Amino acid sequence: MNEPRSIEALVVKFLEDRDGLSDDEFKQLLEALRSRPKIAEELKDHLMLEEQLAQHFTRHRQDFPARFEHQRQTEGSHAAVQANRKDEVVETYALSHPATADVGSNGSSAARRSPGKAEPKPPTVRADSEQASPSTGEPRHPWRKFFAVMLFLLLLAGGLLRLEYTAAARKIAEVSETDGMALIYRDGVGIVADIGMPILPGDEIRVQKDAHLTLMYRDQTQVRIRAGTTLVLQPAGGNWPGLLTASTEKEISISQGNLELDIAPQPAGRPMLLKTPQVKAQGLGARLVVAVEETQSRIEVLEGRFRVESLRNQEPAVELTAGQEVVATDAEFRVSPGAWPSDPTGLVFLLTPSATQSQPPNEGVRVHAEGINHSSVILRPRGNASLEAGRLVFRGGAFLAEEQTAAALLAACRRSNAISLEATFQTSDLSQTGPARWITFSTGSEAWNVSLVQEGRDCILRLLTDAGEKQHEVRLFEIPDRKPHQVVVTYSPGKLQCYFDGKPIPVESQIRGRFAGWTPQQLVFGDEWNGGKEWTGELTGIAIYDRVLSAEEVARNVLHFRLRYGDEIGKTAEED
Amino acid sequence: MTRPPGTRNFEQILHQTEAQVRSYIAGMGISPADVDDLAEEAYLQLHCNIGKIPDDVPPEFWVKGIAKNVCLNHLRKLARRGRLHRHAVAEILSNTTTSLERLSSKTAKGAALADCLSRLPKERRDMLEFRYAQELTSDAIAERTRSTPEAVRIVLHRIRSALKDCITQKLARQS
Repeated sequence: MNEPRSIEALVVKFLEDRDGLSDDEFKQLLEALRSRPKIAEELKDHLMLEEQLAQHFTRHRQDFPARFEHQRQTEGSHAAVQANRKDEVVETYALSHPATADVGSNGSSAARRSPGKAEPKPPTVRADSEQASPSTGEPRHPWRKFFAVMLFLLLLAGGLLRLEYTAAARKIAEVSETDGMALIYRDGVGIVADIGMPILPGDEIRVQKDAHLTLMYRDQTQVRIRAGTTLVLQPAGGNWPGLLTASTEKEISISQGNLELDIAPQPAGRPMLLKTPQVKAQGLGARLVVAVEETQSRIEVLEGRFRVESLRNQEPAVELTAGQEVVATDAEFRVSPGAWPSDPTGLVFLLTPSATQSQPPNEGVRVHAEGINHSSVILRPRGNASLEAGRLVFRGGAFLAEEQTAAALLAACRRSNAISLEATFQTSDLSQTGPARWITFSTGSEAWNVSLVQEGRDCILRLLTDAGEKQHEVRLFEIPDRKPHQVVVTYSPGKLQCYFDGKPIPVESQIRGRFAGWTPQQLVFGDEWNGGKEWTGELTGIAIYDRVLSAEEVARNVLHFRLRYGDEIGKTAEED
Repeated sequence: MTRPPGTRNFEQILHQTEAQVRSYIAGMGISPADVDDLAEEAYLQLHCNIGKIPDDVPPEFWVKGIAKNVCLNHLRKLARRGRLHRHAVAEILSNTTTSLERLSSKTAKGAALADCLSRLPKERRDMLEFRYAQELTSDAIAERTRSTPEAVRIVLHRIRSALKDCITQKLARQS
């Protein structure tokens, strides 16, 4: 050969051992074979000559036909099976290349074909994993598929296990809402919470002052965390379910602060756990309000049931129902109805059934109510009006608040442009007119800011705004009977809503506008300030807010009021 | 057009073509140890589908076509390092036609080989005996001939080259 020595050496080396070349040497040889057909011819001649020499010299290779026949006969049945399987392969060849198998081994092959016939093409090589081993004629190892499947399953399991430890799989919940500075401490490092951020087992959440954070679990369980709260979700860590093991119960450990829990229905046997320094609680679905201070925990159930047990004393566990709350300290474990009002925010005036009265020497009777920030508010009776068992009873008289109370109400409502009136009433006469005043913030029939009055069987709201007719009068509902009922009326610009015994009722109203036109008036119960509009009946549970109560809060207040102050008050006619 | 099964004489085809087919398989760079196995595989497939050989195609070419596919499949399934290179080499070689192939028939080539072998010097013939009869490696031959493996490989290469030239000339004269 006149080729470079290196190529010749590679050819010699390849002839010596077909697997003897390195990758680089193979590449070099391939390049030479592709670019120099002469080298390919030379190599092929040597390979074929080697085979001929082997057939010539080696005895055991000399009678191939006999060996083949022997092999075919001794393995008759097996060969038949093999043949059937291979039949498919050759069938493929035949269908794809019906003419022949021109393998390029003889340049005269085309000449040997009949003239005019299309030139046959070489059979397509197809990988056939089911084909018997070409080198041995034996079937592939029967366990091969089994091992392949097992390997696949092993890899799949490994992959899933790996996924199990990703943040996506270990995510307990994610931040769905945030306002202000809320920090999530993970492995000792604090991260500012942002919407969409996953919460992992063991994360500690600290919501700073004036901030709040809402977390959403996968099952839509919601945790609304208020300012100044510190808690840990799934403090046990590590065992929180991922993609494979969704079996661990939810758990929140709160050390201080306030939160609201809206727990979606949980699977039986896997209640959601809540731990505070004083109590351990659990439930399968409920709405709660939790407040934890240094020495006290308070859990109030708004909906559903929740089982609570003390960690500090031997009191038996209790199951709270809606409207109940538990207060736990080191010394006590007290279950009681929920507070009324459930949220004192925005309270301007409050008269509870536990209100008291006094009569200092040389002064008339005083009924003690509350104002803004629990300040003392004095109501003075006029005519035939009295406080009996926590109720204001009107028999042709009235109670008048002091002027500073009226001034505070005016200032608060003008500032917020919103108001909510809440009261439990019991009329003595379904036909009284005037309209007879229940609660009025006015000084006469022509000068009023807001009034709740009775005209026959109708309950009417009078409201002054700075839009439209300004002095609006809206019929709210028909008084059904002479039993106690609760009414709540809320207004913010353009939105008037009325609730009767905790349920919203439709009100036809076009009232718009703000309270910019409100003027200094008097806060009077049971009559007009200047008289002549007396109402006979009883009022209790009076609360006036400078904000709008939500429907949820109204319902909660009705429930709490009933549980706390007696079954009759606020009970609907149907319930009765 | 295909014949009904069995109208071709498989035994006859086997006897007439096996030497060329085995050489063809070896010519693709298949390891000598695998050549007969792959040839058996190819003939097994031929036996099962003997009736599908077109009338106008010599059986030898049909068998070689099957053998080519069997060999390429074999190389594709090798787990060894360099199988891709082996496959590529086999593809190139299977598409290469040499002058020796064009001239040969089984009988003529066998006779030519025997004649050319008889003309070799004894030491060279011994070298071929070591290699192809006793199936010794170059290292083993080098030990016996007190040479080096590299020298043995080169000598063997030169012997084969000389034999090829000899056979080609003989067959060319005959044709």
